[in-house]
Amino acid sequence: MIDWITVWTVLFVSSVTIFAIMAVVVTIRGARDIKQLLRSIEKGDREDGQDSEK
Amino acid sequence: MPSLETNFSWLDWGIVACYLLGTVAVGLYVNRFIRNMSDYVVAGRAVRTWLAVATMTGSELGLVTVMFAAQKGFTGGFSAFHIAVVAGVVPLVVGFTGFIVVPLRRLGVMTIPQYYGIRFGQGVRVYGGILLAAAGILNMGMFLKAGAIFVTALTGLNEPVHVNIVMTVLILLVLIYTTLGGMVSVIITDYIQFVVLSFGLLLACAIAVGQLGWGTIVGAVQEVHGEAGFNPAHEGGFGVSYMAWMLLTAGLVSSTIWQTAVMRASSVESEAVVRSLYKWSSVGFLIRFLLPQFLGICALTYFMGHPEARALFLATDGGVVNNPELTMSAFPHFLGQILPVGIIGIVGAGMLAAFMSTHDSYLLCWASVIVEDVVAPLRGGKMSTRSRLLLARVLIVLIGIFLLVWSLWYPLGQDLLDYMMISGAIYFTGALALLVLGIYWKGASRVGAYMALTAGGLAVLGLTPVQELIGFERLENWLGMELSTAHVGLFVTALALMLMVLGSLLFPDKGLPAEEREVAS
Repeated sequence: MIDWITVWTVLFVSSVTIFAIMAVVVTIRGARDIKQLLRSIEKGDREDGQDSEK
Repeated sequence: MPSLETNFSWLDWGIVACYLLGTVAVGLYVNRFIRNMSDYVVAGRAVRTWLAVATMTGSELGLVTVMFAAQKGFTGGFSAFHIAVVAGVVPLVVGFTGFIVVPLRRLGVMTIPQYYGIRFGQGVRVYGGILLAAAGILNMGMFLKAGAIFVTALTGLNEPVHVNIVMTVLILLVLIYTTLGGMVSVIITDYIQFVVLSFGLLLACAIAVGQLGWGTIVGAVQEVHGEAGFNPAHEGGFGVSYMAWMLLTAGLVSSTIWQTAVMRASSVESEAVVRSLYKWSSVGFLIRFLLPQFLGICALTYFMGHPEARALFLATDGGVVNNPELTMSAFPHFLGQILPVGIIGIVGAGMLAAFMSTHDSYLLCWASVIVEDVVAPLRGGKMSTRSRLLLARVLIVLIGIFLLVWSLWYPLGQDLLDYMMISGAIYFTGALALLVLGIYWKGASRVGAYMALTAGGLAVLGLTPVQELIGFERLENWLGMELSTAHVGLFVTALALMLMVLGSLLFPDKGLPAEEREVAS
């Protein structure tokens, strides 16, 4: 028999922790990508480029 | 609407006003970057991984999502978490396999009907475009009402007329913003909204757990829902067929078939980014259900301890009252009572940002589909960029007016999530067949595509007012079983796939143009 309360508790705590870390990373690096996006559109650069991680 | 107290103050109104004005200013600022339809619709295909993750999550973590997910937590307890699980796991699988989205990105399509055009011909593109836009606009028909119920419940505007006034103000704000900036402004709003709402929801959860205690929350679900509040397969709660329906809709469709998600995949700069986007966004897809569902459960727990509210939200048999518009308001009422002054303003602003973010994405999406997949092909593709942009903006305003009228008139009659899934099914049941079989089966044909798209229209039978209108009960009596939204949706999906196969086998394509044969193979 599945212990649903434990399943949902573990799911909730682990997901919230991962999301909190992800939110911080995406906030910081997303801001950098916005600058790049506006610069890229302004230059009329429509070519497929490299990933921001590269 | 229930008359419940709120901590929302003038300071919070000030925070919300500053936020909204700031957002409109962003729209005005980025308008100068828009030069063509590609900039307007897919931001010049120049979006990189982290911004794509923020904007994908921001767009999908809308106020409406938060409202319907919270409602499911309120009415279903912890069992509702199964929706979050499938919503998170499926995009992760898509990220690793590239299922559907990578071939679409490879083709460089901006809309799904554009793919229909390449694979099945322009006739299917126009037909699919009309169905997609109609289902999509119907699908967002309750957005305004959900937004207005949130605002009025959170702020304590309890007169029924306030809901209508708030709906009008909200749609005006969204229209101004969306018509100005297109996808670039949408992406930037999505980013801001991602930041505010992510941290706002995390904070709200922390405050809720701190005030209520985990043990009390579990006990409340046990008291109201019993085992069905924890076990999603329990037939007294969601049941197996509903879980299968959610796997299809909240999992596969919302991440790969739904046009707004596909537009995000089309906006990124390479196939590698598409895969990264889906892997990272899987956390966002999971969280967009999980956090609001948990807050819905917390709202249930909180109101059980308040006799006046308990009488309002719980029926005499101890279960949750069967009134979708009332249960939808439980979550914002709860936020209005547990969050302190100032924090409510920030969370409220985040939610409004979420509302605008979703609304502008969807308005832009459906207007683009009508322009690119219906009007332009019918005119032989002879439309200038200027005409397309102008028409898209006019359509956005017209759709906005329709949404206001629909929100005022349509009686919801079922949980918001179920309304959205079944109205979306009018389009996605056919689209699923066309995309999956079109991409992965060489034998898929034009006639099969028409048949599958047409079958999707049967999904309207899942809408409660339609069922009441046609006397759906007689069919249920005849079958000797109750037919839920999930049953209707799963049946229509299977029918569309079957007709696609049958139509393709009976009427295979002959003499396709060279480029279409190339895509088909």
